[in-house]
Amino acid sequence: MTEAKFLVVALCVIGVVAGFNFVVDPLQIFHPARFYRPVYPSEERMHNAGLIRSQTFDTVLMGDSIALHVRSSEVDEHLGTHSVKLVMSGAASREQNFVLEVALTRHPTRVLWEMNDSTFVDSPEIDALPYFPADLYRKNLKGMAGYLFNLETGREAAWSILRSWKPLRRLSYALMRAGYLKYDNNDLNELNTFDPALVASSYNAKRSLAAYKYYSIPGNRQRLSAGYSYDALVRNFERDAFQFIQGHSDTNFTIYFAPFSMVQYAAMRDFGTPDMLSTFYRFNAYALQRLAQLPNVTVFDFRDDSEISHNLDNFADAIHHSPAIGVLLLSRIANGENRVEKADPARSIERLKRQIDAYTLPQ
Amino acid sequence: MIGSLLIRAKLSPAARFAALTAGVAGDLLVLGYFKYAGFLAANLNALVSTQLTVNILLPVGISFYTFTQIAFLVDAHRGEVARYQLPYYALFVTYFPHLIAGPILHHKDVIPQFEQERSKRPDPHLVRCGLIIFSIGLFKKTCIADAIQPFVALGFGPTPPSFDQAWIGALAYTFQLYFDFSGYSDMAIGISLMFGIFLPLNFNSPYKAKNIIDFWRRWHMTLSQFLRDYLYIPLGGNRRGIVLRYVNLMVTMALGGLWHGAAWTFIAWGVLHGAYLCVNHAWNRYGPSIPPKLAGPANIAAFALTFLSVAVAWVFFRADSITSAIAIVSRMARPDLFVYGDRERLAAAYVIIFGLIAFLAPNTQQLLGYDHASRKVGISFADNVTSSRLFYAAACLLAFGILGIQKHSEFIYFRF
Repeated sequence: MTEAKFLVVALCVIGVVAGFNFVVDPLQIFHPARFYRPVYPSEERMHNAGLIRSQTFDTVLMGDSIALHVRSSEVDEHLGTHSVKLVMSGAASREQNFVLEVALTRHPTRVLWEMNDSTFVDSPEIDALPYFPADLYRKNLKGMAGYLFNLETGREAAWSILRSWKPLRRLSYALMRAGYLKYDNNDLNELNTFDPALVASSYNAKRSLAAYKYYSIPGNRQRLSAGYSYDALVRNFERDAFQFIQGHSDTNFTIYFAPFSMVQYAAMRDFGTPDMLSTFYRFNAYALQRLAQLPNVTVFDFRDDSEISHNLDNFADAIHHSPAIGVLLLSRIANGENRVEKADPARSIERLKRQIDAYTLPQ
Repeated sequence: MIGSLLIRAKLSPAARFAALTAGVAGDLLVLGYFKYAGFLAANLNALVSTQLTVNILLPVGISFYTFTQIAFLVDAHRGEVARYQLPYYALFVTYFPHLIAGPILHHKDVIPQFEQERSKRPDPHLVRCGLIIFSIGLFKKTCIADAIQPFVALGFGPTPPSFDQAWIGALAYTFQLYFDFSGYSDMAIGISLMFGIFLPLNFNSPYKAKNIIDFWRRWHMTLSQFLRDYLYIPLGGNRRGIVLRYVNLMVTMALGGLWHGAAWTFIAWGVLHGAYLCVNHAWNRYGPSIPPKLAGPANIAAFALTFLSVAVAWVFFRADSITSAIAIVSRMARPDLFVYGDRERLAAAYVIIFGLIAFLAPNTQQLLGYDHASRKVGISFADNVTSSRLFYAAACLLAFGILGIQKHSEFIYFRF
């Protein structure tokens, strides 16, 4: 059977590539890197699938872009943990919930979770997100086939080995910079952190105020309040946070609400829909009250910390604080500052409301 | 129904013409509704500030099977269509290998093959050759076209490119489109061959062309033939003087551009090629003859000029708007704006490698000895295909083609 011979040859080649991908396993899905120094892709949704399986940790750092620049070493230094960072830029609550669910199968004792209302605005089902490699986390047949029977995996696997040979190292860096190789970080602690040389030019009042100006343009106003409904926020919060935490009573959750610049609230006040701010207050009061009911949760709220939020030099835009503030928050969490009292959980929101009412933008 | 009427009924010439008009208009109305209604509404909105919104999903491959049926009706009107049985006609229109991105089939070529007894039984030799052609096509698509695709964004990104980025983007797209579309055509031809049906060739190393007329004999050949037979010649072709010949060329190519999509960029691309063809014909007629001594350098110059003209025209084909196309082309003429970073160097290497394949490598039909006219293929290894290196190489290409399949990878011509 000539046709069979043809297909057997093709299948053999496919098998060799898949076998090579399995042995090298550049994402460390099946086993930690054995005979080469591991390299990680900067795409969080990809590398998290491997980190969950390849790293040893007792604490998970979760959140969205607000917490992206935090280093695991900084968490460990302040909180005395051995953490893994699974933060994902732009992650909706469903994505965070999904990744945490897989990470908790490794039985960490603590989750440090950066939370904010925007993650609960629009949170579609995980399989409806075309960019999320959910099957890689599930480690099912589809996910494993997509990973192993893949030339891209093979290319990254080959270069993971080739770059340990000195003469090819420089070329591999050039190929990384050129975007040919997606696995381009070999220091896990520095993954998606911010270059200190760029801090001054990236975090300043000028940029924060530019965000306000952006939302002042009529065509951009819709972006500010699109999908911002109380019912959706509560529904997603209940499903992705409250019920999830309730279902993992043996894990301690340290949840913190990071500070936004006052520019964000001023924009919500001045350019959002008429009920946007009231929805914000109502939802956050609700969320803080619900979290206070859970015995395995400790909440920190930094949003009413006017020292941080009123100093616009701390921000790159309306919401993203600087790496230095990120470290400050960790030290405050370690010291128990800005902790939400279970007896009066919504007090921080009431304080924030008074600040927003009184706030005027610097000229 | 109208085809049947034109073939079977004894109608007066006026009635036959009315039937043809109704049939073609019906085909064009359906195509116009699905493909051009949004475009018309957008232009109307721009002209008279109406608030028309049209959101219609485009059926995949509608342009291809509409043309197939128009050709059938026109030939039926000309009395050039045999009395095909309805199942064969239905199979001809819906024949799946070509359905979504061509080649554009002609009833005279394909329906007689359906009717032949030998095409109703699998032929092992044709199955093997089909597998090999399919494998080459899949490899072209997933390992070449998709590999170069990320570099197209260098020229066609949201910010104006530099000189080198504009050229790299334009050339990357030039090769991506060729390997993508010819890859699909190879896959369609390969699958069809496994069923014993020879589909017409759609590409014949187009970037090896030495002039634009030659390019159109090598690029999307079935569309060129259709436009020639059913648009250019009915418009008068070259029979009504030189001026009208050029006018007909421009009209044909502009409509050929519009066939690709409802956007001014496609029309501009068509008009540009129309202009190229007019210049080419004028050069053939009025230009100096090249002395034999200079034939070599002249051929190289002709090849380079043709390729660069085609690449510049692709900028209009790919750009989001005429304005951005002009911006990119103008950057292609600004050598003072030069970046040449790591990404540009890598992209340039890709462009050169894939360019060498397009310019120097034999094409699929040359490798396989695919002769559509005489319905022959793979004669050189018909007796013992397993002794052929091509056989094992194609099996490897199939493997790499499958391994290269990405989650989000569609054929460019699916949308036309």
